[in-house]
Formats: sequence, structure tokens, C-alpha cells
Amino acid sequence: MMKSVLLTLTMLVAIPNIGSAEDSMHTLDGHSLYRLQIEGLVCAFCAYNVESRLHALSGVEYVDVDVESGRVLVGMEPSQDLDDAQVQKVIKEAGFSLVAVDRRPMTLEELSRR
Amino acid sequence: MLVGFTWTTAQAHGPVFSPAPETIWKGGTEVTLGYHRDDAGPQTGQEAFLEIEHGLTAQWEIGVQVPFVSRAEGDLSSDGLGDIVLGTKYQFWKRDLPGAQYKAAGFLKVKVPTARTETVPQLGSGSTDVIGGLAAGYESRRWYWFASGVYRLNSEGDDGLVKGDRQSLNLVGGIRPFLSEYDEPDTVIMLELNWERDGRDAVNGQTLANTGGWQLFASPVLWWTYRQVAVRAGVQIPVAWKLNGNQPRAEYRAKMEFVYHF
Repeated sequence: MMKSVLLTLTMLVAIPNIGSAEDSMHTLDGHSLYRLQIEGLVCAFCAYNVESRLHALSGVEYVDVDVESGRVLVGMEPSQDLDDAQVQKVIKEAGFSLVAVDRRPMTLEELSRR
Repeated sequence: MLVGFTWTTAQAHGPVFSPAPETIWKGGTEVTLGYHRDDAGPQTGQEAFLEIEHGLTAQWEIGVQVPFVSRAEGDLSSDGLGDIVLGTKYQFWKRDLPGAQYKAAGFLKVKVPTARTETVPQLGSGSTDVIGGLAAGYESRRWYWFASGVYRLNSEGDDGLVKGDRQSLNLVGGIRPFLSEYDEPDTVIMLELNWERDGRDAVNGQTLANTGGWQLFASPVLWWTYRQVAVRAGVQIPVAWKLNGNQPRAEYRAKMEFVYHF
């Protein structure tokens, strides 16, 4: 439920800004979005661990974990970036392996698939 | 043969009656409230326990288990604080795969004689015992398996009794019948095979005839988890045994645990 509300709000805020400028393609209304690929994620209990630890990082606004694919979407507060070394450390301490941090422009279609 | 309660560390992902290679994450704390019942002929044991584990690193955890024990034998019964168990576990190998994980760990525990021994039946052995072992396992979105070997080294109790050492071997298979999403309740069913062998007890160097032997249990287990909450339950059913002399064998053992992650 929370996931749907956040997604809807994000999309509503984002729509006027998508495609407005090339350098804003990877952000939605100033909110940086990151997609992490994690290995070793098996169940909801694991996912809670990852979610709560990422949430504790400074500047993280929301976290959405997809257990099936091992993908984690991290939304940042405006003008905040996710520190690579910090997120690597957090995932390792949670007991998993971070294999990719995706900073590609994230389209509404990608968001809506989550 | 009422052989005392299992010392398995509670783990949301692990089997119920045998150890798992799982460790809690760095800085994480797992709190378990559990109930265990052991019926063997005229002897009945019940235990309610609180267990707390804390992750020092993602691979290394420490824990303590505080049991409250009730025992009955015929018309006699006693209850009170049981033997407290202190433990540590180190996960020395792990391999992460997409949607799966292999891992292996070693663990060491010490049971300290905090239970009263002057009661009938006794609440504890009065001995300081050491338990160590290895556990390995595989978890995936659909399938699970675990294997473990455990050795329990018993020392002399208050009354000069040295209980026989125990060895156990465990094989576990499990399946998640429905692949749930993160925000949905998650159910896993497992079947454990638990083999236990106890050496003969001894007093002043003399072994006791009606002690020791082995038992094999088949143990269906159910986990149910929702985010940071887990409920786990299982029943151990004896399927084969060979006990020395004349002693009651286990009729069944049951265990239920409520687990919360902070």
C-alpha cells in the first residue's frame, strides 16, 4: 500500500519534469533515483534487513525492495546523492553482495513496472 | 529417555531442531520467545525461553538463552530457572548468487549450571557443558537445504554424575510453496531428519546400564514470516531408535518460536 502511494506521488511530481533537460533525466523533480542489484536476497526477512539499513542512511527518502529480482530502488531527498562506498558497506554488513548500482535515467515506464 | 532440550540457536531462516549457518547482520538483534515440550514415557519436560542474539559483524554473532523449565516425572514435579546458555557463531564461508545463498558456519556454546539440582526431578544437570558444531546450507527463492553436525561435551555434575556426551547429525530439506512478494506473508515448509546419539552416563567411573543410545527423528517444520516477524513451529517424531537397557524413549518433542528482528 505504502509502495503504491509513494510511487503514485513520485510519478505525479515527476511528470512535468521528465524529459525537460538531458541532465535531469536521471532525477525526478530533484529526487535522485538509484537501482541496486543485490545477490543473496532470498526472502522478505532478508529484504527487511536491507530496507531498514538503507533507510537509516542520510538522505534516503524511500526504499523499495523486489525480492524476486534482487533489485532495490532507492529514492533520495532533493539534492542528495547515494554514496557508493557507503551503500557497498551497508549491503555487505547486511550479509549480501552488491553487484551493481544503476544510475541510468529511470523512466516512468521503469518506475511503473515496480 | 528425556534427554534435555535442544540448544539450537533460533534463526528465522534456520531449521527448528538443528543449527543453521545463518548469522544476524551487523548491529542487528534477534529476540526469540519460545516454547519446547518433550514427552518420554512418565517424564515430561517443558521449557519457555528467551533468547537474544546480536550481530557483531555480518558473519559473527553472540547470544544468550535464558530458559524457564518445568519437569514432571510420575507424581513429582518441579519448575524454575533452567541452565543459561551462552553462545557464539561465526559464518566462515558464504557465496551469494541471484536469489540464492550458500553458507557455512561454526558455533560454540557453553551451558552454565544456573538451574537448581536439589529438586526432584532435577531442573538442571549441575554441570558446565560445551557444545560445538558445524552447519552448512543453501537458501533460494524456492528450495532450502541444511546439514549440520554437533558434539556436546558434558562435564561432571553436582552429584558426581557425568552424563554421556552427545553427537547429532541433521539433514534438512525445505520448499517455499508460494513465491511471495516483500510485503506479503511468507511461508516455508521443511522436513528435518535428526539423528542423536548419547553416550552412557557414569558415576565415579562406573557406567550406568540404562542410559545412552540413539534415536532418529523425522521433524516436519513450518515457518511463517512477515517483514521482521517470524513464527516457527515443528514436531519431532521418533522413527527409529536403539536405547541401552530399560529407558523410556521420546514420544514426541514440539517447539514453537516467535522471532522479532530489531
